[in-house]
Amino acid sequence: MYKKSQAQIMEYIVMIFFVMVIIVVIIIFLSGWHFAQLKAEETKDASSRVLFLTKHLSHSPLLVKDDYMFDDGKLTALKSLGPELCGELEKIFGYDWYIEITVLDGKPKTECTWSNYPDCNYWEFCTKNEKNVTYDLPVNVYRRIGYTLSTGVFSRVDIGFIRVGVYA
Amino acid sequence: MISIYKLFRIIFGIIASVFILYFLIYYSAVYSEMQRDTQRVLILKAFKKTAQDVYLTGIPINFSQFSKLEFDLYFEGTAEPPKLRSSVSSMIVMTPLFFAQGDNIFIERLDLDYGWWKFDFVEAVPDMTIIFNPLENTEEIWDMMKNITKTLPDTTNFRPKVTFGFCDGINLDENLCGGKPCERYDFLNILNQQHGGVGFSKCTAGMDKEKYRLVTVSSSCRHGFADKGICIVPSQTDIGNFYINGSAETYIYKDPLDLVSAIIGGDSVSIYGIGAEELFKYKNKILGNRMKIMSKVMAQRSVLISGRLQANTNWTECVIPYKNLADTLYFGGQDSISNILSNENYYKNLPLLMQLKNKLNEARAQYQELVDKGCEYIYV
Amino acid sequence: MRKAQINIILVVLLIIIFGGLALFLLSFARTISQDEYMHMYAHNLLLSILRTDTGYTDIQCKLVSDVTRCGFFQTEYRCGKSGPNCLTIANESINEYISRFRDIRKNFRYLFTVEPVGFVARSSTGEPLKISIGDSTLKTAKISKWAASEEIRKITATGEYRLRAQLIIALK
Repeated sequence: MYKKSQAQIMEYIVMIFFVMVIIVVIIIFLSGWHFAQLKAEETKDASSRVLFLTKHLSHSPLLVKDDYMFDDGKLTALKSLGPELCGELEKIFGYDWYIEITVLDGKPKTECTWSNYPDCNYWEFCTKNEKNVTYDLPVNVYRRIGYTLSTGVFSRVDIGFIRVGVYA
Repeated sequence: MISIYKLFRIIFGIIASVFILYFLIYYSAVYSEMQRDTQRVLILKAFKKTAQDVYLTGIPINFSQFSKLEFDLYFEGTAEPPKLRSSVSSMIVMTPLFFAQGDNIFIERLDLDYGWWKFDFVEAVPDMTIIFNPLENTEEIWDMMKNITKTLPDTTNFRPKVTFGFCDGINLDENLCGGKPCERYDFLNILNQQHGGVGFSKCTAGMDKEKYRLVTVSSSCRHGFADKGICIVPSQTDIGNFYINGSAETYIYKDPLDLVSAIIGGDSVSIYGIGAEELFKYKNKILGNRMKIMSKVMAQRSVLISGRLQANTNWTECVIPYKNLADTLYFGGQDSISNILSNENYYKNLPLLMQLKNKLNEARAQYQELVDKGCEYIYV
Repeated sequence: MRKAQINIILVVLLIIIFGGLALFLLSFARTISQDEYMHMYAHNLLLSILRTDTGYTDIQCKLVSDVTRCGFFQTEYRCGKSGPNCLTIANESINEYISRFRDIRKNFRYLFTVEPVGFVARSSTGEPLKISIGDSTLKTAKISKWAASEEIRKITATGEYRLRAQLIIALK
């Protein structure tokens, strides 16, 4: 009789123990879920930021003639601002990003400078040697000194792509 | 008689239940508060994304998610970088934004066009009625009211509504358009009508400062003249003084957005100051920064292109206009737009602002000359 | 003893179910962002190709959109006075630009088409005119794909005519 009572009491204690375990598991799961949500949001944030930056840079009159049509004169002029350039751009577009613009003209990649303009096809801004999240996008590049003919100098629109990255 | 075993079961059961219930209620209360805060952050992020989309696409939209929870928002425009602050978080806002809090917000993109550059910005405003109180009947005052109206959002076919009216003494004339409040297009038609003999007395009507924005226009404006909103001294040169209720400073306007930023900011006071003052300073800081770098880039571009064109004898007609533009924008030394804007407090200095206005007009004409000669494109 | 065993099994089952649910829901986070990017890519590629210069300076042949319009409505016109006809140049240019992007994004499949909307354009030999460049199986393939389209308009004495340029991309 005594042993039977003891066994029954033990049963209850074991039952309560397992209910506690389930509650603790649910709490751990909820906290883990919350943490996982934050992590997912962080990844989504980085991707969203790159996408927005791509659209913002491709719309800004500082770099473009029209949406997604970069102006080669503005890009080369920006490069001439020297080491202060990145700081100035960060005041407008935010921190920790870079952009590369490449014209797909079938010629070797030549970075544009004041002296070789317009015989060049590549610009880069704020590049660093760090881990980043990037997106590529097709764009146009407006070449102000496009065709040089006997009748005059005419503009031309070339096809190219941009690579925009955000440093992690 | 109850056995000891049964008693044990009852007591043990009560202790265990209380423990479990306490834990569940405590955790769910904490978690639901966390959920509300998380929701507030998500709504703020959604608003930021919506404002960015409007800035990029130019398609106006209304945003009503602020009505779901209580928010205490403040746009800290003079912070570096500018932030939208709430009790739970702050969000960096890189796109030019003129924001007033409300449950239902209308977001639209507008611009200031300088010819060689266009400054795009976004206005995000709740239900709002702009009440004009022009105390003299002059062309400058009516032109000023038209310019201010054109720089505010057009909410036709949208909710919330930005409407316009007049105040005459203790009377508020809000329903001027067929017995209904006027939106931008209809109010501009009213302003374009003949106004000979029209007169208003100083506004003394009571109005809710969340919904109404009073704009007094009078050559008698001074500190404390108007007890609500802003008070503008009209000017023939488009540059003049205005006063913000509650502030001891005298402000200078040079374009309609200076006045509109103060109107949107409103009379609300926070730890950061008066809303009108904060938005006015933000407008001048962001415009100054962007115009400074833009003028440098356009000037360098002009020199770069004119140098290449000089080699080609058929296009020398572009060379001189490019050089003139470059000088006005940056290379003209102290007189250039970039140099004027290098003074952080340029917007508080009347002689500098007069100089800036002249140079902007010059740059506009020089760029138009380049467009007319086929040397440049019109910036759309 | 049996009750304790059942409880242990229940706990393990709960962990498996919740864990699985979490992983399943997390997998959606990446897909939404990729969708927006792919739509942007398709739209931008189409727009960029149409706005690019062909190398010819006559008004009918300057941009890819110009030479495409010319190819459907001025079938006899020759670019640069004695060069190839417009439709040939349109095909060559579009093919060239798509190939350049194929070299950069090797894991994409492309299909670029231009068709008249609501009418039939015919060549001098009576054949219906159409541009179709790339993987033609993409049009009917039952896979995830992203499309963009733009209209090229021509106003004539008899009214307005439209061409639909469409680009479909998919992952390999």
